[in-house]
Amino acid sequence: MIENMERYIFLDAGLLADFLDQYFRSSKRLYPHFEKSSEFSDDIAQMINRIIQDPQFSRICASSFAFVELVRKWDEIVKERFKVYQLQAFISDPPEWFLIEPLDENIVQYLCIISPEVRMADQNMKPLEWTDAIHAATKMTRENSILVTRDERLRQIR
Amino acid sequence: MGNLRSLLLSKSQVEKILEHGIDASTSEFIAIMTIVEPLLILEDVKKKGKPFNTASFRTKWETLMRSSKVHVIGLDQDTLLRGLFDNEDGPKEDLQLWREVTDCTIPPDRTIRRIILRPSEMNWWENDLYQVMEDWFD
Repeated sequence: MIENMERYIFLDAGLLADFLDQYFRSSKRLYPHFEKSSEFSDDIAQMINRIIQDPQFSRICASSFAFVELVRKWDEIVKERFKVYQLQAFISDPPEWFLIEPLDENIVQYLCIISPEVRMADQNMKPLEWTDAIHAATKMTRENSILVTRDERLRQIR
Repeated sequence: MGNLRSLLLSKSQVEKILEHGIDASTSEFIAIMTIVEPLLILEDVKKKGKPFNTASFRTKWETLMRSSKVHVIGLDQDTLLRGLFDNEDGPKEDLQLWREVTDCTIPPDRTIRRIILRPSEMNWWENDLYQVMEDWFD
């Protein structure tokens, strides 16, 4: 059982593409091993691997909307790293340790508490669009969760 | 859902319902909206402060949801499978993304609506609601 760590790791669209790239390149689809890369820090790769090894109480997650963003910007984000049929197979039958979270009415209460502007580390305010806030709000639907993203604005949201 | 026809609510119609309550005339229909409508209204509320503030929006939204008079159609695993792909009957290498959702020059809210409302025999609402939605943008 995973203790003293986030039980739910949420990926935004960019990280989801990187995650799927490593997943589809793995020879062990049920228990792939994720490596530190330009996209994943060593900590994140280890967290993902721990979840895959012991998924009883934890999951890797992405909002349904992350898949929409992936498809809308297929060439830009996916960059021919995997095929359309692989994406369909994943959505159709994801591994037991992966959750595709719905974008439904439950998200509204969490979006209500996310500010339309985010204070950055340098104290400057930056606007946050609803399309970005969805990932932070989806993460809030689960306790003990973390959102993995390269978006500095989303990293500022607790 | 019986023989009642479905009524697809636009963003402005949902705004009116939140402000004034649901119109009696909608009782002749099954009123539905996509998840996009409240998200866009909330975006206006947060950035423009109108037609109400965030706390007021939340109260009105929760009241509407408790009334069960409107169905919200969201985006989930099944919706993605029905909405994202095309040419599914051929060899797997020929599987394509549905052209209507790969156009990133249209706003993401319209893409989500297209995925949710894409005509399918699995939909419990009338498939012509897809065209109703598309007509909003003409």
